This record gives sequence, structure tokens and C-alpha cells, in this order.
Amino acid sequence: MADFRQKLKMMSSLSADWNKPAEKPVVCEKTLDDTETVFPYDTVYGRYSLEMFRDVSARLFYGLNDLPEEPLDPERLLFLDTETTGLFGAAVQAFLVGLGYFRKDGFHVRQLLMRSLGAEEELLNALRDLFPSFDTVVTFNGKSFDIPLLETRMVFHRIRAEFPETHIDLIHPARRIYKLRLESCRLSNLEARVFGVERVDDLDGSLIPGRYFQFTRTGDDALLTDILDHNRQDIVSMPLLVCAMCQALSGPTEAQPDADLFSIGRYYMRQKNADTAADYFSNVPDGLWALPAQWHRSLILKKTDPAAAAACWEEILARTPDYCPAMIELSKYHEHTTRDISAAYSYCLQALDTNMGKYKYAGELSARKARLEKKLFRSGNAKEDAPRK
Amino acid sequence: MNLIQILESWKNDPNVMDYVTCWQKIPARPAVYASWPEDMHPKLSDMLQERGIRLPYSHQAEAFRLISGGKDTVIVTPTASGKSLCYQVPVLDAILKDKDARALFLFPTKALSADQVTELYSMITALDCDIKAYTYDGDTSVSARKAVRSAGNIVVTNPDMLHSGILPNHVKWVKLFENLRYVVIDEIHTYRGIFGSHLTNVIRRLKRICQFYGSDPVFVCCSATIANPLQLAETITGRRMSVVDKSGAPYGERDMIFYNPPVVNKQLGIRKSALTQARMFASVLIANHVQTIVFARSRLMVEVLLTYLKAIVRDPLGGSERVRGYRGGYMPLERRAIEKGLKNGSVTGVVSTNALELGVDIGSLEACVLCGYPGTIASTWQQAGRAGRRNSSSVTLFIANSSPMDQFIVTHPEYFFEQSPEMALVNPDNLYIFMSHLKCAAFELPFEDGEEFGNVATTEEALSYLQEEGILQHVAGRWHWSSETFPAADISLRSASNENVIIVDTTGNDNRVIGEMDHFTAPMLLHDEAIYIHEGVQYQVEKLDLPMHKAFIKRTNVDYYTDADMQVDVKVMDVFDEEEEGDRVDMFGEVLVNSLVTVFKKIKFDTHENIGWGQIHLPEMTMHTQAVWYSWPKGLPGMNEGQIGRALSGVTNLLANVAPLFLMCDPRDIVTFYQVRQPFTNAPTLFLYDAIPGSMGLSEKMFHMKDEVFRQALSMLDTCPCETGCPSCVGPDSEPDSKELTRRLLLSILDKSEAVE
Repeated sequence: MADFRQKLKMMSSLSADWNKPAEKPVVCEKTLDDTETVFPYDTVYGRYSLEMFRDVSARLFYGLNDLPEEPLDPERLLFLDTETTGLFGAAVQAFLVGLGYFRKDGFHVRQLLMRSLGAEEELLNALRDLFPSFDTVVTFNGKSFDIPLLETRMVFHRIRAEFPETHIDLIHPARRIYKLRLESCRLSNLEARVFGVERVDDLDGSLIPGRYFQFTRTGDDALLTDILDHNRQDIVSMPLLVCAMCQALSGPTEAQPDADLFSIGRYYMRQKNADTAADYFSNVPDGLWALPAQWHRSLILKKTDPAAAAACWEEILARTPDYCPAMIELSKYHEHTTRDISAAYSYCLQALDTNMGKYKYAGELSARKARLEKKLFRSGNAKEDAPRK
Repeated sequence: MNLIQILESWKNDPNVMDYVTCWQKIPARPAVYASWPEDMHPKLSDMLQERGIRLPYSHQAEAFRLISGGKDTVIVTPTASGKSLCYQVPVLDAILKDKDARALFLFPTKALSADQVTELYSMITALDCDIKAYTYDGDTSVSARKAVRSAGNIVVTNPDMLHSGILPNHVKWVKLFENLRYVVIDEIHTYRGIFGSHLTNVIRRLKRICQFYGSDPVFVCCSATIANPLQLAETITGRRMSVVDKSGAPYGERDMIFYNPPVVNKQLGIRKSALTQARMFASVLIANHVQTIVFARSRLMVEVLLTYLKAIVRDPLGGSERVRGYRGGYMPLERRAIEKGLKNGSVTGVVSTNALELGVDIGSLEACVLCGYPGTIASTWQQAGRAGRRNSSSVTLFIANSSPMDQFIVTHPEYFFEQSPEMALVNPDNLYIFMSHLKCAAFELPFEDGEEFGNVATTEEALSYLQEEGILQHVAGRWHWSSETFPAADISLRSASNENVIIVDTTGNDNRVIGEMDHFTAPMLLHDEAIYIHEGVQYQVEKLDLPMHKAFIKRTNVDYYTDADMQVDVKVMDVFDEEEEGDRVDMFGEVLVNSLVTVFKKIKFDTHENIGWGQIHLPEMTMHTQAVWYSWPKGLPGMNEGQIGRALSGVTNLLANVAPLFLMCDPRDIVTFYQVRQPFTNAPTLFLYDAIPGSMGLSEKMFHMKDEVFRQALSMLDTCPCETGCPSCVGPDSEPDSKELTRRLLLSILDKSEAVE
């Protein structure tokens, strides 16, 4: 019989998409690298510095994930970010876990790195031992990626760990606040556009698994430098992003971009904080976001101060004469609040004349028109000489 | 006329009886009942009673006893004998007693999975308990997947989804794997050849994962009647199994009629077409309101028959819904409508491809017309089983076409009735398939030193090879996955190599993928300008892009089809075994097959005239497989080189037709081929090789079969009504002496004393 290995060789030569042979493997020992870097509080990164974290409000911080306020002790927060050998499937491991936490002397970044694919259990055990010192874990997209991955890897190794009770995932508030202004809410882009600092020679995330596998085969530490830098930067950026977001949320300022003001208004509306939301909306200056801000503000006012809301709608129409939803609101307002049926009818007719009214709201509007006509007819019979506009 | 009167009229009609080669009556059999075990959950017996099942058939009770007793079990009973209940009842019983228990049901198709869940769901509703049964396949929405993973007591899926969706993500299925008590593999007879070899490896992976999570499920397999259900189930599951094969279900009396259409051209051995004969018989049955199912071998034939039969039942308003077509790929809603129509009598006739062979329950019919031999004894019985289910009498009419295989069966009915049905062969250690799944398994869980995958001794060598390829790394006693790829994504369970050609329909504005074909067959059927027929629709190939694995086709309507000529060359790489049989040397070993298609012919429908040809410019294809070859080192005495060529050509053609009967495989699974002077043997040589990369073990089986196949080839040659050789026996390019030369060669093979000269 032909040598088994020869057969395998021939088989791969007949197959076009078989992987190319790799370098001779260098078998690493089963070890874990554990390194720590301390960033002093006066580390400045663009518009923000680590020092600013002392001023972060507990209410705003926990509010980032819609949680009720609780005491905020920066030393009990664990910032966490992983680098992995792939995106999905049972073989994916977190080969590098970056951790960040505040101490008296500054912000500590600790990096746990598997020097070989066999070191995973050791890494996970280290994490398990570390978790009890923290109440809250802070991540960027950790709810759908990093934490479930670590949990399944723990199951895999039958390790029982108590993850910190609270999890603040920064990606969701970041998207709510910056998505309208920025095309991408990746961490590096937030650094560039929010902090005002561009990453230099940053490693493309999709290259990381390949680099790491190459490292495990060659033992060449130089391959790791970029990965470790990338991960360390991600960790340091997280507390700074918290500072940036909490500052932006602490009240509208003129320095804030229009889109951010509008987005934060909606952020507060989602949290059912109407007053703060209205505050942000009313600070949106003239421009692209003025109309939507005015519109949202009017919807808030509608419940508390209908007349003010009506003033908003009239103002909207003064600037955007064919904005159908404002006509519908005014029609409703006059029908139910001022009971000026003919005014309500006239707005209804105007609305029907717009493009949106002809298509999007056609059904709703023709029902309204019919009802108003009936009301007009009745009131016309009752008091023939009712004032008409 | 009712069915019995129709059968009487046929019996008295010499125009029918002259061409009937066999009319066999299979007597009715009463039901054999048993009782449910005492410890069965009382809710379950109440529910069954409400559904009209007062007592189980004997095989259902026996299956319950074995399965509940933790025995791996294979159930082999005929169509419509209540096979599903054999596993549904014990599984539901186990879940009623332990609500954490989980079961995994595997069906070969999505349609069967959907049927199963519908049935389970109605049982569970009647049980009024909190058991969750879900399908999990490509159609399951992303939001539903989470619920299936965490809460499904019974997960119904197919091997492909298990392979690419569930096993590689087993960390998300912890609850299922920790509590997995039963794995049910239904329709196991469909897992032969490549698909079965893949499934065996998928099950090897499943067992590894179960072991990791500490579960040890009971395996239950169900099979239609084949020769080796136990062996097949034991190979696939890797377990010793108990067999339940004595059916207690009743069935009515059945007439089996074999009909060979009259010869219309004796010289060429051409008979009236099976299609027109099937049309004639089915018309009588349907016109008399006898519920009839007609099986045709291709989708095209289904369409043609459907057109004819619909014409009979067309009402004054043009409606013809009494006759319906049924093809693979029909949507569930359409299928339900047909099933309902059969039940309430509004549908009288169904024309189907073998899609219905699988256990989709379409209701009971009285007559079954087989237009052409279904290819295997097992399929024939399965299709016949669609007619005459419990208590009524029924008829199955087999109408032979002029192909050699059909002719052999219709003239040798004893072969059909006496031979046990076919064996399902799998070759899980086919190197291509084994290596594919070894990668998947390594991705799912690192291999430990000394661990064998499916008890294959070369596991470690294969793993270290994967390390050299950069896919694995051996660290501290474990083989870790060290590649960014997701191996299951590249491996299709329906083909041996992962380089299928995707067929793209460019007729509309949007390009639509309508199918795929393996790399080696594509040059034959999808070369530029080829006419490709899919679901009865003609397409012309615009471009075959082999490097991109794509064929672009466009709808067309022409009156011809195309047939490509393939030049084959075989290089012997290794001889595993050899034996001398008189002047003949038989060898079995490994070969490289090079194939090159160069020209194609355009052949007119109906008349089969050659109306043109074209050139094909495609690279040579290479396949690594196994072959058996027969050579005559002393030459063939009394024949010159030209005569040797014609004799070998004749035997080659007969072998291609006879061998599948004995190897119990699809005719396309093997290729026969001869060379008058073969470089390796340096003698006249006849080859038979597995048409699947890595082989399915067919040529090895052939090697051990010896003279038996040649004896049947001779019998087929002698039964052929032609005079000097025709396309049915010695093949298309015959000369006046072809038949005689072929006979002389076969005689010399079979009887050395009667050797030529």
C-alpha cells in the first residue's frame, strides 16, 4: 500500500484550495504572559485626560446602560477587551485579555497573553481569580462578543467563575450619541472624531488571528507588538470614552455639534427624561437638525403644554411649508384642544395636498377629513353664523 | 369498472397478456397487535387511544421495550407500517418522565423534518404538556434559534445543519448535549455512498461532543427494506445494535405485474416506449376513478406524462386538478393540497419522480404504475408501497423501457423476487471525506494524544500532517486548531470534494443559483453550449468557468440535446490485490483517472439523429480513486487487434449495465473503460472504477465478485432480441460481428474449456 503520507500529499496536490504548507512549527511551552502598564492620571489623550474620570457622575455612568444610579467606585470597575483567534465557532479562543482598572497611582492596564494555544485554562483561571475584586465590568461590544465568549470558554474548561454583577457596554450609548454624526462607531474612529486623536500604525483587526497563529508557529515576539499595542489602546480609550459621553450628557453646550445635541435629545427621550430631552432639542441651532429637533420637542410639549407645541408646529410650517406631519398635529390640536373645527379642517385639507399626505398618510387623512366634515355640518346646522376662517 | 374488474379485463386481453412476463399475487396479511408496557406514562396511552391507536403493532411494542431499555435499535419495516411511532412514543415517554431530557431527530430533507414536527406538535398538543419540539434548519429565523438551542426538548434537523450549524457551535448547545438521551436517524437507507460516508463522520463528531459533555445517547435508526440495514446502521453509528424487523402492520392483497412493451424493430432491438405504455394503462385506471400514482424516472418524463393524463380528466371548464404532478422541490403548501385531495377523493392521479420514495405520507392509493425500473429492488418496493396501504387490494405495474437494466429485470422476474434487496455501501474512511471531518472535529474539540477518530489507526499521522499544513498545532499533548478558517463551511455532505460547480441561471435580471454539480461531471454536462435540463426546463450553457466553480446558463427552447465525448486515461498507482483466473489477471488498486472532453454532439429528440457537433476547450480533469481491472497478458487468441477492441467494447458496455445491479449502486457511480494495449499491464485490459474521488468501495466489491458479473453479462447479451448487436447490449458503435465477438470473449472468461478456438 502506498505510504499514507504520500497519499495525503497527492490528495492536497489535486485540490486547489488546500492551504499552503506553513513554516516548521516551533512548539511553545504552556505559559501565560502577564504584563502591566500604568498610565498616570495626567495622561492626556486629545480633549480628554484620565483625571477627568474622577468627575464622572454615577447617575450618568450607570445611565449609559439604562441602569439606576448606584455608588461609583472607580477602583471597583474592570475595563475588559479581548483579542481572539476568529469570530465564530467552537475553536475560537480569546488569546489576549486586556484588563484596565484605576488605582491610587493611575490607570493600570494588565494584559494576559497565551504564549501557546495550550495556555487557555491558565488564562481563564487567572480571570476567575481576578473577578471578585470588581463590581462592574466595562466593555465595548462585550455584551454580544467578549463576555459570552469568555463564558463559553469557561464552560469548555469546566471553570466556574463569578463575573462582575453589572456590565456596562459602551457601544450602545456610543452609537446613540455619535451614530448620526459619524459613519462608523468603531473605537478607533471615536478616538479620531471625539477625542481628536488619530491612531498611528494601528493594526487592522482582521489581521490579528493570522498574526497570532504565525506567532504560535514561529515564537517571534515581534509579531505580538502591534497586537498588544492595539489592545492596550482599546483599554485606555474606554475610560476616556466614558468621560466624553458623560460630559456630553451633562447638559447642552454651544461647543457640541448639532447632530450630537439632537442625538442626545433622543437619548434622553428613550430614557423617558422629557425635560432634559427638550432642553437638548431647544439648543439645536438653525441647520440640518433644527427641524427634527423642533419636531421632537413639539411631541414632548404636546403632553404638557399644547399651546407651546402648536407654536412649534406653526414655526416648523413657517420654515418648511409642506411638512405634512405638523399639519396633521395642528389639525388634531384644533379639533380637540381649541375646538376650532374649521381651522382643523383647513389644516387637514392642506395636509392632503402635500406629497406625504397623498401617499403615506392618505388613509388616516381622508378618515379625518370625513369626520371633520360631519362635525362642520352639524355645527353649521346648530349655529349657522359660526365664525369661519 | 373498479380495480378488480380492470385487472380481470387485462387478464382476458391477449394484447396485454402477451407482453406480461410475470403476474404475481402477494397475499394479504392481518395485523399483529401487542400491548404497551405497563410503565409507559399514562398520559401517553390516553393520547394514543384518542388518536385511534388502541394497541400497538407488535413491532412498535418491541421497539418501545428496546429503546426504553437503553438499547441502540434499528427498525426495518415496510412503507406505511407506523415506523415513526416506534421512536416517537419512547422519546415522548422519556421526556414526560424527565422534562430535562433531550432528543435529536435527523431526516435527510427539510420537508421530512417539517412533516415530523407537525406530527409531534399535534401529539404534544393532545398530551397537553410542556414539551418543546422544533425544527432547526436553514429556514429557522435567527430569533427562533436561541429558543431552539436553550429550550428544545426535541430538535429536528438534517445532517447538513448538524454538520455546519450545530456541531461547530456546540458551546451554544450545552443544554442539548448535556441532556441528550436519544438520537434518531430516520430513512437511514438514503445515507449510502458519499452522503452516508459523510454522515458516518458527522456522527463520529457528534459522539465526541456528547462524550465531552458527559452524555451517552441511545441511537435509533429506521430503514426501508435493504439487504444490510443492521450493518449500515452499525457502521453509521459505530455501535452494536438490536434489530426490529418483524412488522405487525397489516397489508392488503397486492398484484405485481411486469410488462415488457412489444418489439417494434427487431434488428435494433427497439421496443415501444415505456412512456406511451404507461400512459395507456394509467389512462384506463384514472378514467375509472382508481386512485393511481405514476412514477417516472426523470422530471422531464413527469412533465410529459402529466400533460397526457391531465388531458383525460379535463372538465368542460378546462380544469384538470384531478391529476397532479409531484416533484422534489414542491412547496409544503402545494404538497398538503395534493395530500388533502387524495384523502377527500378530489385527486385521482399523481405523477411523481422518486421524491415520494421517502417517507412523506401522501395517503393511500390503489394502483402504482412504474414507468421504467426505479433502479433498485429497494426503491421498487418502496414505490410499490405507495399503493395499497392497509386493508384494500392493490396493483403495482412495472413497465420496462428498452434500457439493458430494465430488460434484465423484466425478463428475469425471479431475480427481482428472490434476490434480497440492495446493500447500502458507505466508506467513511474515504480519505477525502475522512480528512474533511477530521478537520471539523479538531476545530470542535482539540484531539488528545492517543485519541482515535472513528477508530481509524492513522488518526495521529493525519493530525501531524495537518500540523505541517499549518492547520493544527500540537501543544502539551493536544492538537489545537490554529487557522482562521471555519472548516465546516467548505464541506458539502453531498459530494466528496469541496469544489462543486455552482449553476447560475442568468435568464432574468437577477442571477439565480439553481443547482450544483461536482467538479468531475461538470465538463461532461455543463460545457459551453451544452443543453442542460433542470426541472423539465431547457437551458443552454453560456459559459463554464471552472476556476471560479461557476456555470452560467440561460433558458432556451430547442429540439435537441447534447452529448459530450469523454476521453479517459487511467494511470495505475498502486496494486492492493491481484489474482490469476486462467489466462486472465484481476487486479484491484488505486488509480489516477484523467478525463478530457473534446467534442459534443447535438442529438435531435425522438429521432436521435445527430444534427451537429461542436468543440469543447476545457482542461483535463484528474481524479484519484480505486479501480478493478481485468487483463489478458497472453492476448486473446484467435482475434486480431480490431476484433479484440470490439469484443472489449461490447463487454465494457454490458458491464456498465450489469454491474450496478450487483454492486447495488447508481449506474453513474461507476465507469467502465477498456484499452486494447494498456501501458501498465501491457495487455488488453478492461477497467471499472469508482466515479467518486477516494472511492466508495464499489470496485473492491467488484473484485471479489469474480465471474458472477460476467455470467449475468452473458445472460443479458443472450436475452437481447437484436441480431448482431445493438446499443442496448454491446453499445452504440457496433459492427456486424460485435455481438458474436462479445459472446466469444464472455464464454472464454466463463468456461476455460470452451475457450476461443
